This record gives sequence, C-alpha cells and structure tokens, in this order.
Amino acid sequence: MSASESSVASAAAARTAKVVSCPACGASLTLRALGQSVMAACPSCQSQLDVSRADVRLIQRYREQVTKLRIPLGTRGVLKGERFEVIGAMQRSVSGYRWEEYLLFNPYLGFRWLVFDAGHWNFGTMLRENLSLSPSGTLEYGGRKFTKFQSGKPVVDWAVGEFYWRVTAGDRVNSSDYIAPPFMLSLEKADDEYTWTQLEYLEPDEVEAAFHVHSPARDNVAPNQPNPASRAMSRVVQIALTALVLAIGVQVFTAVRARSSTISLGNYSFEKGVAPEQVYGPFTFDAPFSLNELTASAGLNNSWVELDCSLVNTVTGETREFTNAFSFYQGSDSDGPWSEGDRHDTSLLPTIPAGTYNLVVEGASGDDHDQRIQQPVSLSLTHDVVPWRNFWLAVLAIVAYPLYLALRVHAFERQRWSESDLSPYSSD
Amino acid sequence: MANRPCPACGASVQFRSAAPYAVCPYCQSLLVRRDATLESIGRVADVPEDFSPLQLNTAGVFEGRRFTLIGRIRKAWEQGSWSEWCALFDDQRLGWLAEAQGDLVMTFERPLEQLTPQPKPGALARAKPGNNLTIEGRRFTVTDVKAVVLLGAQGELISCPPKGTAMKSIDVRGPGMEFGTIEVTADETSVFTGRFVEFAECRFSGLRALEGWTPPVAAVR
Amino acid sequence: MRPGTLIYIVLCGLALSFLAFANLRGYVPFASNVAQAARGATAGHFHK
Repeated sequence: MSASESSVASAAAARTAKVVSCPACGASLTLRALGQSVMAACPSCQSQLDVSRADVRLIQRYREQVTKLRIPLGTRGVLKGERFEVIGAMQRSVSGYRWEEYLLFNPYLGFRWLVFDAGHWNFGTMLRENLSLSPSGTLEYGGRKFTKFQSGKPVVDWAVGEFYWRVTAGDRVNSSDYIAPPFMLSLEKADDEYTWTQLEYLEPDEVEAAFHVHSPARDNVAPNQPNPASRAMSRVVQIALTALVLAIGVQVFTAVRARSSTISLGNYSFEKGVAPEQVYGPFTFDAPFSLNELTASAGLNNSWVELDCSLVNTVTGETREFTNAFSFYQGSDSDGPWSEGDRHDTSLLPTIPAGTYNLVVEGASGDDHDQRIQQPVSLSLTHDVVPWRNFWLAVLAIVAYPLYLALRVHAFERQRWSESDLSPYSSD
Repeated sequence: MANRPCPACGASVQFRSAAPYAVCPYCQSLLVRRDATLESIGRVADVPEDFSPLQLNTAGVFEGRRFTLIGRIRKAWEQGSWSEWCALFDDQRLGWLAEAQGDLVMTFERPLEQLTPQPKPGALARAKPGNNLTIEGRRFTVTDVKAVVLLGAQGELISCPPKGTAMKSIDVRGPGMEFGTIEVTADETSVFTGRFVEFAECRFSGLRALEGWTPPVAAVR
Repeated sequence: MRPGTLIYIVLCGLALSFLAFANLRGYVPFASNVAQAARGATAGHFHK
C-alpha cells in the first residue's frame, strides 16, 4: 500500500461528485467542489445557482447560450506535478482585450487558476498574505522584485460552472499587475477585499499536454513571458568573458616573447646619379617565424613616394615582394588649411622564417612639378613585432554573438513593454 | 474517553474531550455539558454532504503535535458556507480547523482580555474592514465582517452558534499567514487566532476516499 | 545545452586557436601590401 493510499480510511465507499438539476432550465450539472464552491453558473443557461447549502437555489435566472469552452468543464490535467479539474470558466475583458480564466480544483490543494490570453497561458495561485508596496513603487515577494506593468478595471463578460464566490456577468474590479518574469503578481480590489494572485507563465506545450487542448499561435509578448534570449545570455556572457581572458592571456604571452628589435637600414636616396635599385643588409631574423614591419618616412611636401621592395633570403633565394607608398599634400582654401595623406608608411611582412635577408628597394617619387623629391627616405625595419590584428579579430569574433543576443534581449523587452502604459522605453 | 446517555433519546454518546458541546449522532440533539450535568438544548441539522477529504476521526499533525478531528460545524453566511472542524490534540488542547475556499486554517481560543482595544458594548458590532486591533500583542486588521448562521453540526464542539439567531463573525488578518476570528453573540464574545496551514503540512491519515482522486504524497514541502 | 551556445563555444575555441597559432607564426590576415612570395632566381638578386 503506497504512502498516499494509507492516508485514506478504507472503511466507506469513495465519495463521488454530485449531479443536480438546474432549477431554471432542468439541465443536469455536476458539482465537483461541493462544500468549497458556493455558486455555480449553469453551463446550459448560465443561471446563477447557490450551491452553498444542501438544496440548490436559484439566485438569478439567465437564458444565455455559451460558446464551446476551450477547455470543457470536468477536464482533468496535471500541472506543476499535481492533478486539477476544471470546474469553472469565465471570460473577462478590459479596453477591448479579452481573456479566459479557468478555475481549477483539487480537493486536497484547493483552487488554482489557468489563464488564457492570446495564446499565452498562466498558472495562478492565490496568496493568503496581503502584500504592500515599497515607497519606490516596487513590490518584493519570494525574493524577487516586481515592477508595475499596468492597471485597469476588468469586467466579467460571462461565467459558467462552480466558483468560490458569487461571480456575475458585469462584475468589475480594480486590478494592478506587477511583473518579474516568469512571474506576475496581480492585485484585485473589490469593495474592501484585496486578493493577490501569483501567476506563473506556462509554455503552451505544457498546457497542451496537460489538458489536451490545442493552443493557438501566441500573439505579441505576454507581460511575464520569460525572455528566451536572456536565458542564453548569461551562459554566453560567461563563455565570452572566459574566452576574452584567454585571448588577453595569449596576447600578453605573445607580447612578452616578441623581440620587437629595430634594425635601422639607413636612407633611400632619390639624388641624381644614385642607382634606383638600392640594397640594404644583410640582417638576421632569429625568431623562428616572425611578423616584421618596414617603415619608410620622408619630409614630404605635396609629393609622393612609392617603393617597390623585395625581402630576399640570402641562402634560399626566397623573395617576398611588397610595395611601400605614401604621399602628403596640404594647402589652404575657403574652409581653411587642409592636409591629406601621411609622411610615412608601414608595410607588414608576416610569417617570415628565421634567416639572413637583404632588402632590395627600387623607388619612384614625384612632387607638384613631377620631379623626383630631394629628401631622402628613411628606412627602418622592426623584427618580430606583436601582431595586433589577430587579437582584435579574435575579440570581435568573441563579442559578436553576445552583442547580437543583447540586441535580441532588448528587442524582446521593448515588445513586452509595448502593451504597458508604464513602459520604460519611451516611444517618442 | 467517556460514554454518557443522551438526555433526549437515551443513546450512548461518546466524549473524548473536554469540549462543552456535542451532537447526539442518533437524534441530532445538541447537548451541553455543565459541570456534571448533560443538557439537551434542541436539535441541529446534520452537516450537508460535500466533497471534502476530511471526515470525523481524520488524524493530522500541527507544529509537531498530533490531533484528531472530533466534531464539525457547517456555518453559512449570505453568500456561501464553510466547515469548521473541532481538533482534539494529544495534550487535550482543542482547536478549530477551518476549511474554506480551498484553504485550511488552524486557530485556538485566546482569552478575551488579550483583545485590545477592549470592545465597549456594541463596538464590535460596528467593526469594519480596515479596523486595526491587537490580540496577545500581535497586530491584526479586520478583513471581513459577516452574519453567520448554523447549517448543521456533528461530533464534539468547542462552541456552537445559537440556533435561530445569527452570530457576527469578524475575520482578521495578521502579518504573513496569521489569521484570527472574533465571534460575537448576544451572550458572549470569543477570540480565536492561528494561521493558514498547507494540506501536505498536516500529514493527514484516515482521510475519506474521493472517487478519482488520490491524496498528494504526504511530505512537508 | 542549447545548440546556439554549443556553436558559440566552438567559435570561441576557433578564435582562440587562430589567435595562438597566428601569433606564433607571425601571421596576420589582410596584409594587403604584401604580394605573393616569389622564388628568386639567385640569392641577392631579383628580377622584375
């Protein structure tokens, strides 16, 4: 005998739900929460019946036809690990929005609510405590901070089945909602009575599986709908930070090991009589593989320089050709003085193996008279420099997805708050 | 535990507690114990049928102490009704376990002197939701005031609303799960305070079988 | 773990591997002023 079975006395036969007939229309209705519910609205004619005493009494006669319920009365399903039965259903509306509320009952656990609103489902539990707002207008409950989302005066459009209070079509309450996704706290004030309900967002497939109902496509974003990008975000940020730390580590290691030794090569001269092809070196690259920089600079004035260079390995003859070119112009016009270009250029020479090299340079230049420039071009070679491009590319690759997710998080939140009058995202 | 003959019909009525009231299960007479005497003060209706998992002799636990349900009153107000079970604890203390709106509330009687402000004659009759008062130094706020009548009763009871006249029931709420009731009749005023309890917290045994339902796993969550 | 997160971990791994190996080899991408390596005819001499 299981633990739950042993708590039930085996003497008497099991109590069953009571079937009565409606005093208004004669249809039979099942009372599933007898003793806890105080009122039933006949599912056939919607007449209000008092079921709080032994005899069923008519409170108010109606002759309404009710459209087929999304979840029929008497449907049972398991939510949050417990079985519930739908005993009542009602529709409420405010400012043109309509939604359905299903009263769930479990004889041991009492009442719960299942709310359907434009494809979104929420599981409601009434709180017994009366909560109070902090001076700043936020609400704290269960270790969470709730932000006010909206308030309104919803009205009951229709109600069928059993309820624990006398609900009538036309009943209106003052309602305020506070959100901390996936939770929402809803306050309803009717006369002097305050009722706080905690709503938890349910994914549609959870409700479809529990109550065998088809849930239509969701419209917009529900106030307490969890942000799907947020859930991925925290994990992704963790990974991104780890990757960034590792990237910085690799870069620091590279920087520490880099020789960054400067080899001054002298000048390239455009003077008349000097051969156009000038050779510099030999010099030794001792790093096994290195990124090197050749910087050429000259005191240009409205002139240009173009150097065709070759780095030649003295032993293997392997040659790396590259061009180093720069120009500098300046003047003055109606907007003031202007300048364009640089008086230097740096060429990157990647993946050069260790060895002894010569640099062969053949240059051309021109000034505003198409004459060769007079100034010499200073050449400087730096061996085994720290590559920065790789680091920034890696950083870009690492932060791209988190930034994209952050945009998605933001876009979702904007959509969430678009339904609220209290949106922190101003629309102007 | 004692058995005494019902003064109305002579049947043997069982008394397990020191509760002053009892309902004869055979003739539904309401019996009052005053010192050694047992007096019948009229008849009461049997409790109406309902779908509650609780029944007489259901046992449970509250704050480490075992109790048994030995009686029940069904009370009604203008717009509804509910049950109150009389709970007998192992140390002979008595409490009320109210079953209403899917909630369970366990309360115990407190001395009337512990209610402040002390009600002047007629003051409690004018109590309104929002009024503040203190019971045994704990602060409560009135949430509900109802005129209550008796629908039916069974077993042994701490108190019983007088037949024919309404009793005023003033519900008060304290911080957290605290709850209280002040019951005012023409002759007396009683004060009860306690708190909401979860069904699983009580670890009930001897529950009534409900077709199609099994109790949740009896563990404190 | 969600597929997107898994792909992201792989991407970070690739980025870090690229960083480590490229730095080691002195390689940088998009060095536009570098022409293809050409085999020289003789040491110390180059043909246009």
